[in-house]
Amino acid sequence: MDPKSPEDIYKSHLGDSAFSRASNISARQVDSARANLAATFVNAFVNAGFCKDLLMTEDGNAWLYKNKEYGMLAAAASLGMIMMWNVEEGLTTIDKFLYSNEEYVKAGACLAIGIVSSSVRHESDPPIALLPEHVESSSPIMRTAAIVALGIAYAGSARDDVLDALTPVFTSSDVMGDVALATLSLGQIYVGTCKSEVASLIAQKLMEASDASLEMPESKFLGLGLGLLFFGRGERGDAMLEALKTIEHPISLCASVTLETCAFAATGDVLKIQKMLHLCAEHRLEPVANTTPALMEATVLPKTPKATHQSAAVIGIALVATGEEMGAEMTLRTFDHLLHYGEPAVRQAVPLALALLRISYPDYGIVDQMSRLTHDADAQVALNAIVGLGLIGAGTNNSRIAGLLRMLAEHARDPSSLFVVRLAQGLLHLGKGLLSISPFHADRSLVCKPAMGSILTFLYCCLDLKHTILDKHHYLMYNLASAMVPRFLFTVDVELNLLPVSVRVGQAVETVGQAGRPKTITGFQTHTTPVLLGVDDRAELASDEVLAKSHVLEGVVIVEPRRSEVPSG
Amino acid sequence: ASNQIPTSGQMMLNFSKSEREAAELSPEDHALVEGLELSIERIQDPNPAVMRAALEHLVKEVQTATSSMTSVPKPLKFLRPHYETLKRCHAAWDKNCPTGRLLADLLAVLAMTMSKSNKREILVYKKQGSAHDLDSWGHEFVRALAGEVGAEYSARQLNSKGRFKSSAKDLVALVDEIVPFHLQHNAYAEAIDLLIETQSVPKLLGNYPKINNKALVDSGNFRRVCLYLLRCGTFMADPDDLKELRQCAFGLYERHGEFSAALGVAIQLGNDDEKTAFLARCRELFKKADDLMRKQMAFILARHQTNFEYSEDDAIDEIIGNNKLSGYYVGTASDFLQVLSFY
Repeated sequence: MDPKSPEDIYKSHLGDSAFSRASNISARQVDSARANLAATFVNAFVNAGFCKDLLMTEDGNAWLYKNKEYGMLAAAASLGMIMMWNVEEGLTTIDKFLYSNEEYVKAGACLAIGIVSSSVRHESDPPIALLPEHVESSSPIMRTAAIVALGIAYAGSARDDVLDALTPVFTSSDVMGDVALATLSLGQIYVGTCKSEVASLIAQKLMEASDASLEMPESKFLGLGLGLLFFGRGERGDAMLEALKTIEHPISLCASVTLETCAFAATGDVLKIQKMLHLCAEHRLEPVANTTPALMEATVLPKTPKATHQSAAVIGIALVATGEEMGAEMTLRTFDHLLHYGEPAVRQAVPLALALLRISYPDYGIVDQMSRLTHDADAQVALNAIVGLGLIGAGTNNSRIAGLLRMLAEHARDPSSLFVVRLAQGLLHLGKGLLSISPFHADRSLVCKPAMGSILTFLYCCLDLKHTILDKHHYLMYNLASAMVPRFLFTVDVELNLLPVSVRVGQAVETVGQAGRPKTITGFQTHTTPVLLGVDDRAELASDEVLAKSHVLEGVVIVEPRRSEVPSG
Repeated sequence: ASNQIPTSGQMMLNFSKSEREAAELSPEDHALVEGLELSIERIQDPNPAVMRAALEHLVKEVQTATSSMTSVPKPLKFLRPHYETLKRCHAAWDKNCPTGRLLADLLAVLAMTMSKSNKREILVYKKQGSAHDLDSWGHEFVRALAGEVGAEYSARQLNSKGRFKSSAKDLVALVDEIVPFHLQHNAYAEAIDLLIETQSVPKLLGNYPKINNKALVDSGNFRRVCLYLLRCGTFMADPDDLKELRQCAFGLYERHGEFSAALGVAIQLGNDDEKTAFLARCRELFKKADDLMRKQMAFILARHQTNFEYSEDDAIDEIIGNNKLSGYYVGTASDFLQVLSFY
């Protein structure tokens, strides 16, 4: 079908008034650089994986030169997302920009190479061939692009040659920006492996870095990279936690929280959740005349001015609880309390944590709650809630969220808000509604670690929107490529060609412990594959003539004809 | 009043004759009560033959009541006042002779409704009785016994560290009787719960002898068993117990040829099992599976973005590398959206 342009996304289902049409036009003229940047990202998200779009694939230069600097980088990189998973054709398309004279375009092309290879292991393996030389480039933007691209391309691969390519950043560079992004990339590459060489590299940097560089906004990625290394490994992260305690800078607290919650991610461990809740319950007390010193001691926060550890704790609560339905629902209620009684740092992280619990799952209640938060008095909470709306509806085309976002666009207070609304709209229509960013699969029993890692990266960026996405580092959003996955159930025959098969799709029902052969789905409709599945949907074969090879009908399932039973002796 | 059951605090010894008459006991109940009371008297008789006969009468009455789902266990109600008497008898007798054991068995069943909580009298008496033939005492009894075994195991674990496992042999012997009983009667949840409580989940992989030439966990029920096992895993506190549970599920799936499910469990286990790395486990599965199943497993691994490589077959390695994705996606998407005619 025809590729979609950003205007189609902004205006789809527009019911209404001349007012809304007029206000859209004027908003666009106010900040055109921002508007173009938004259009780049929306275009990338909406056409992700389609290998065809209206801005970049035909004559990319036209669109490219409507942007400047980082905008050009984002535009060039968007090509990677549009051609995602198609390494051969993608490389041909990106090639033209790889040798451009404009540094930002070249960097964008490098990033595109990383994005196009995300989740795919191609025999020609272009990223390792083309990117390592730029890791030590004299141009900062080339270095950044190469480092981030390697992380996206090789997420989950645990490849030592990529480690070798990135090690120079740790040994010979002191630029916190580079080191932080390299940590993030290594964390993604070695996600959940507890690789000790990587752990020591990161820990050493944390200990050696000057206080000034640790104050920079990107320093929280050091903690996240370390956390991703121990993702889901539980107690194996304890030794590193002890090591972190020796660091005197407040970042050690934030890094410890991140590490601990990543280590117990998706385990539902109630003790960890309680520990994080205790952290969130701390309040910064204004010195009051009658307060006894003892009382002040008990409740005053450590001297970190931004209390990022509390925000990390909130996201951590969602991270630990996710993947287990009962725990997740209880946590949703807990967040209500945090919203009422929490410090600003806590409140700002709540929309992001809610989104983490309901990624690509726009359940009515959560949409309601998120929508209320978009009108919160605290501007940060409101912005994060807008991002949250995009995340919970990611790839679903949910009409309710689309309407809410259109309203928000019409009444946006400032260019930043409008930009964030556009991003959310792009996420909502991810892959024209055919993609999902949920890291769960196999009947929600498995968590794809690189996917979850990339979502966490995005959430941590949102903890500080002003200095990341709303500033120059918007390209970090391309990390979400590792989480993108088609929502389709494909059935293929024994030759691996697509084969339409009749299936029933409905809401999943828990049947553990029930006697007999209970129905595993409810409220179903019968369709022919390929069919789209939502996060809480389940499919079962409706045809008696075929047998599925997989125990779960998700993704690509091989079906073979059911052999008629031959009575055996 | 006649229908009052004495509470555990009260020591009412007998329904008095007048109370019995005042009560509306049917003639059958009347006969039953008289028979039971006669047996109680005779059981205290010094003559061993008389004693034995009385005991057997009591056992027969109780067994008929508890082993059938449809009968009301009236003997349990009417024997309530005599519980302490029977306990005293048992204490006075030689515990090792068969009669002593039989009385202990009986007391274990009575303890189900009559003992004070937390005293675990079912277990105390059962251990002095015979562990076999639990079937004859009925389903409720086995459940109650299993509950106490689990509670006792946890209590012992809390109180001791280290050499605890060897001192739990008596409990494990009972587990070996109870679990086959539950599995035979399709009570998978109860069986697995007991195994989890006594940290003996690996027994599912085959320590139990076949009954009627059928293994306890066979192709008919392995799916349910594994599903329940894995769901329990979400609530396991101890990582080692969780690992054992997953290993057991993996073993069962693998044994019954459900390789895609086994792969799912292998992914959950990851590298948590020091003895078998994830990549080695995958290789093991790939070796056992047929070509088509290997391809299916490859698609699952691709979705999970694993770094497993299967150098033996390039076509399969290509699938694991997710190279098929773009073809399926782009090919489908345009047709799909056209049908939707939404855009």
